[in-house]
Amino acid sequence: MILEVKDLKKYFPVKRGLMRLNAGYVKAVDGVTFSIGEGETVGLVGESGSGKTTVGKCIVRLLNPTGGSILFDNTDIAGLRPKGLKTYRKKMQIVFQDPFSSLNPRMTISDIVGEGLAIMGESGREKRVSELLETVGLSARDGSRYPHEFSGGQRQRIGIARALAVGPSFIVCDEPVSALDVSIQAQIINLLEELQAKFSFSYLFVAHDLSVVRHIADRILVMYVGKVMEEAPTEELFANPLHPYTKALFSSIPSLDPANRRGLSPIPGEPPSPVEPPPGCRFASRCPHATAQCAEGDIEFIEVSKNHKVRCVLYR
Amino acid sequence: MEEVLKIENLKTHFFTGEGPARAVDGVSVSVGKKRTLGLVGESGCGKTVTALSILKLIPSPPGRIVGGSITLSGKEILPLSEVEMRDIRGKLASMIFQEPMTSLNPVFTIGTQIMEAVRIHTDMGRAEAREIAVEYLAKVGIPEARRMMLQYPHQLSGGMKQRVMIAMALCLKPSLLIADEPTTALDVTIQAGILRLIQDLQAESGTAVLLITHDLGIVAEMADEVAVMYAGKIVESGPCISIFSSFVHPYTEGLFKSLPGRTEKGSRLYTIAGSVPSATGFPPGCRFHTRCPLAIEKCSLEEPLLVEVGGDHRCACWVRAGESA
Repeated sequence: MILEVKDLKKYFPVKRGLMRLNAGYVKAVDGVTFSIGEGETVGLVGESGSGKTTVGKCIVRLLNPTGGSILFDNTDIAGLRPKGLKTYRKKMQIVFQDPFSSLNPRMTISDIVGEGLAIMGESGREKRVSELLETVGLSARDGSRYPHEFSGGQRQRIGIARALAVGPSFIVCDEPVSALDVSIQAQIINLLEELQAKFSFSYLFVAHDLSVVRHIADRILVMYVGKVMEEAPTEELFANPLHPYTKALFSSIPSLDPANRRGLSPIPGEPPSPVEPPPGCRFASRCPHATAQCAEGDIEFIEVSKNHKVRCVLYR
Repeated sequence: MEEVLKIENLKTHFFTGEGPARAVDGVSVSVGKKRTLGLVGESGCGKTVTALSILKLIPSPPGRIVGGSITLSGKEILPLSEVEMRDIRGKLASMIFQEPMTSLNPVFTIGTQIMEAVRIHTDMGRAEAREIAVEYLAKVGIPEARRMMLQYPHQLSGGMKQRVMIAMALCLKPSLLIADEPTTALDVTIQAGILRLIQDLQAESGTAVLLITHDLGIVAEMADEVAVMYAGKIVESGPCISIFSSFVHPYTEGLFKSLPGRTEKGSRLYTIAGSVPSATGFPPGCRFHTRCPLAIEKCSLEEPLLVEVGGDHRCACWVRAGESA
C-alpha cells in the first residue's frame, strides 16, 4: 500500500457574530478510512459538499487534517510540519479542477511547470521542463508562453506537467476533466492513463461524473456528507450497488439510450447540513428504507462480500 | 406539426478587430409544440449565440443578426424593435441560463425578482403577481414557497437557484422555453430533479423546449429531435432515436465515441483531434475537415449541404454522401 488513510477528519470552524465566536464545526470529512495500492486508481465520488475534495486536499496536506492519520510510504504525514513535509511534496502532487484559476496568469508556462523543481533545488530545469511539456503533448516552445494563450484542455495538460515535474509516485486528480468538453475530456483521460502506464503512479481520482470514474478507476469510494457510504471494485459497484444512496445516485444518471428511457428519479429532499449532522446514518432523512435504528449511533462499515463494504443497517 | 419556433438560415456574426466571426452561419431548426429539440456540440460551436439570437439578446455592437428569419408561433421577430421584443421575451419565449449563480440579482429577494417579471408583462397588481410567484415556486418544488419569497439568492443552493430561474422563466407560460445548459453546474442528483421538472411542466402546458447541452446523456433522456452543431453550422439533425442508433457525420461519431461510458474499460477513449477553431478563422469548405479523419480534397474546397440520409435524418458530409477521393 502506498497510502493508508485512517479515520481522517477535517472540521472547519463556523464563526458567528461580532466577536467571531465559534458556533460549531462544519464536519466536512468525518472519519474516512481507505487505502491505495501502488499503481492503483481509486475513484472518490459524491455530490458537491460531500467532502471529496477536502479528502484530496488533506492527503496532499494543502489542508491540515483535524484528526486521523495519513500513512504515506509507512510514515504518518498527517501531523508533519512544513519542513518535514518537503520530501513528501515531491512524492505526492495534485491536479486541480479549474484549469483557468489554477495557473498563475503572470507566470510563463516554463516557470509554472518548473516552480516545483526550483523549490526542490534541482538542476537542469530547462531541459526537464521541455521534456515534461512534450510528455503531456505540448511542445517545448510553449514554455515561453502565458496561460491565457491556451485552451482549457491545453491548460489542464500544463497542470498535469506541473504535477509530474517533481517525479511523484501518487497524484490526486481533483475533478480534472469536469470543466472540459467531451472530446477534450477524452484526450485528458487518455493522457492520465498513458502517464500511469509509463510512470506507474497511483491516482486518487475525485469526480462527480460517474461514467468518467467508471472508466478510469479500479476501485470506487462513494461519499455522502463527510462519510464513505460504500466501497467496492468498480465493476462490482456498478453491477451490484448496495447502499440506498449509491442506488439513488446511479438512477439519476441519464441512460444514453433514447429508445429505452428509464425516466429520471431524483432523490427527494436535501442533504443534511454538515454543521452538527444528525446522529446515525446521514442519508436516513432521504432514504426509502429508513427505520428507527438508522438514527441510533454510528453505523459501522460492513464488509458484505470480498472488498465490497457498505455503511447501512440493511446489511448488518 | 404546429411549429412554435422556426429558424431559417440564421446568420449571426460578430464584427471584431480580427475580422468577422461567423458564430452562427446558416442555421435552420424548428421546434414543435410539446416537443424538445436538443442542440448539441462543443463549446464555441455557436449554440448559445443561436439561443440569444432568438431573444435578440446579441450584444450589438459587435454582434449582429445579418440574415435569415426567426418566427415564434408564426410571428417573424427579426424586424421587431427593442420595445416590441420586450413583449416577446417572457411571454412567447423565455430562457434559463447556464449559471443560476450569476443570473439572479443578488440585492433583490427571490419574490421581488419573480414578481417583477410578472408585473412587467401583465397588468396584474402586486398581490396578484405575488400569488403567481408563490404558485410557481411551489410548482418547481421549492419548499415553503411563501417564506422563500423573502430569501435572497445567496441564501439558496445552486439547485434551488436554478429552480427559481425556471419558475421565473415559466410563470408567464411561454410557448418556447430555451434551456441553455440548465444543469451543467449542478450535481447529477439535482440535475435529475431539474430535468424531471422541465419534463413535467412541458407535459402540463405544452411548452416547446430548445435544450442546449453538450451532455449526450441529457439529450438521450429529454430530446425528441437532435441537431448537432459544429462551428456555426448544423452538421447533422434528425429524430433522437435515429441519431443515437445510427449517427452519420464524423463529428457526431467523434462526440459519441469519446464518451467514457461507451468505451470498454482499459482501452483508450476515441478523441477528436485538435479543438474547435476560433470563429474568426473557420476553415473553408466543410468546417470540420481540419479535424476529420475521413476528409478528402473536396471537403476543403466545397461546403457540404444537409442532405437526407433516412427518414427526417439529415447530414452534411461529402464522404458520407458517397464522394470519394
